[in-house]
Amino acid sequence: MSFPILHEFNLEKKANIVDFHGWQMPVSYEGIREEYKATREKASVFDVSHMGRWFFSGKSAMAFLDYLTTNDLSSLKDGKALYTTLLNEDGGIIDDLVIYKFNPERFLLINNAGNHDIVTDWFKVQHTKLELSESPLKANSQDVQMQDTTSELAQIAIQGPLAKDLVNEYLGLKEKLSYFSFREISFNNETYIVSATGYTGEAGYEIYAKPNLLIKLVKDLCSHSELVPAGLGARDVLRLEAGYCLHGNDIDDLTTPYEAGLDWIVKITKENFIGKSNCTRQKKILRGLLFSVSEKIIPRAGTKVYDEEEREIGVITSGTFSFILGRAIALVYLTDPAIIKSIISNKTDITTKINLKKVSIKVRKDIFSASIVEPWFYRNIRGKEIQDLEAIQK
Amino acid sequence: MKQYFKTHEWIEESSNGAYYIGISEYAARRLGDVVFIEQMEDQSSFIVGDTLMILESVKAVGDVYAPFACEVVRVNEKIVKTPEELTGEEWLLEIKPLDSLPELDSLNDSDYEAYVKKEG
Repeated sequence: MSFPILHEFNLEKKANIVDFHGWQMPVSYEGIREEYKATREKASVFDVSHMGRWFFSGKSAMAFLDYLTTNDLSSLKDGKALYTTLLNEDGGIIDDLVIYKFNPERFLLINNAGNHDIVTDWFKVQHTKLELSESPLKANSQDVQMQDTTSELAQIAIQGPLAKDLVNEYLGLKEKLSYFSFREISFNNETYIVSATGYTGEAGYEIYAKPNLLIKLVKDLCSHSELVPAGLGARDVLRLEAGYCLHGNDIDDLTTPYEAGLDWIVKITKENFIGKSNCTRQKKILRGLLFSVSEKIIPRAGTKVYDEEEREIGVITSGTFSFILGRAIALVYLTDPAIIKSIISNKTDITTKINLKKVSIKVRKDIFSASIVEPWFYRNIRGKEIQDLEAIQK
Repeated sequence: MKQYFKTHEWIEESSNGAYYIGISEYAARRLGDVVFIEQMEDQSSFIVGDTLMILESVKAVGDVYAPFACEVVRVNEKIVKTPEELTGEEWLLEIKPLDSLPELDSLNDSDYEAYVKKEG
């Protein structure tokens, strides 16, 4: 059993704690709705120390990571991060990652807690394979050091419209970092990595530092500012509104990035990466489901979706109640071959091009109707544009 | 006095042989933020174990089970309209036994508390 860095703080706050991939994680403190609201309107802090954290360094670190992942690290500027996927040979997503580039010989890589053991094995096996290979790819393994720093370098996320100001003031950081930028700073002779990333669809930072420093930061800010702690429950609603996939729910090792709408993080023109020849497969396609306000249901993972002729056309992988839209939302994989063909050939607006405006789900004998939309519902990551689904997707 | 059940409902006598039924504070907390309360509108009488009401929260679904054969005489409209305010203290329905009340497998306050502690 593992404990996130704020475990004692969570017990003091009487958080509702559950097991999450072996980690004792808080689902909520004061209530999902309250914590959600704080994140969208002010600022909240999430203990994300359960995520896996790695440093990759050495002359071939970039070539090695570029061979293992789908996005392009070589053209990424120093001080910037990117979102990427780690694929198996069959093009399935082993994990989705964020990688930070300090310079071409030093990277920080973040993986999901539930995949840490699999990812660890994968890195080691792939490195050994390259070392033993006779191909020119062997060079990618010659000077790479992998260091699992999950326990010594902790991680928290502070998210919401006030988040950047609160952290800047606390750490004496003068500039407001732009989306997916990061800085390694020194504060009271200690090192902090501050990065404008997150999983809430809201502006904010993720901060990496020694566990005791982050515990102190959270306690200080929670007692002297408007910052409140938030748990996995609020995080799930926030990420689903933003249309972010959760590995294990919406993506897995049988799903390709092209199926999950993550083709934008696959640089298919890169010379070589694991999974390249199979990752464009599309046997299903991810979309959003927007229920009407009158439909009193929370769609759950595994629920089948039907078209107007009552043909089964897909399955829900995540669903929740969107507080900002006041209605249920879900992510759905459309699996009907004719629909997939139509989406691929049209490329554009599937809701009008194919007759799929209204679909339905059946729960306990009742039928609830919904519209198929692009797979995201709300984002406000740059702090000014509020992208309301109905305004944008109409 | 409230009587509790292992399925986390409580009942309390109201008047005219009717009972208020609600869910325990423990169950309300476990369920988390309730978003919808669904009534069984097409059903007028219930046998023991039937679902009287469905509480749908962000994280889970909770059924309110009939502790005995009954009919619903009143609904707490206020809580149905504002499900987010559900704490477990308030009644959800007023129910009337269809027959004379059988012996109930219920728990008192402290026994229920002990049961919940054991359940974890």
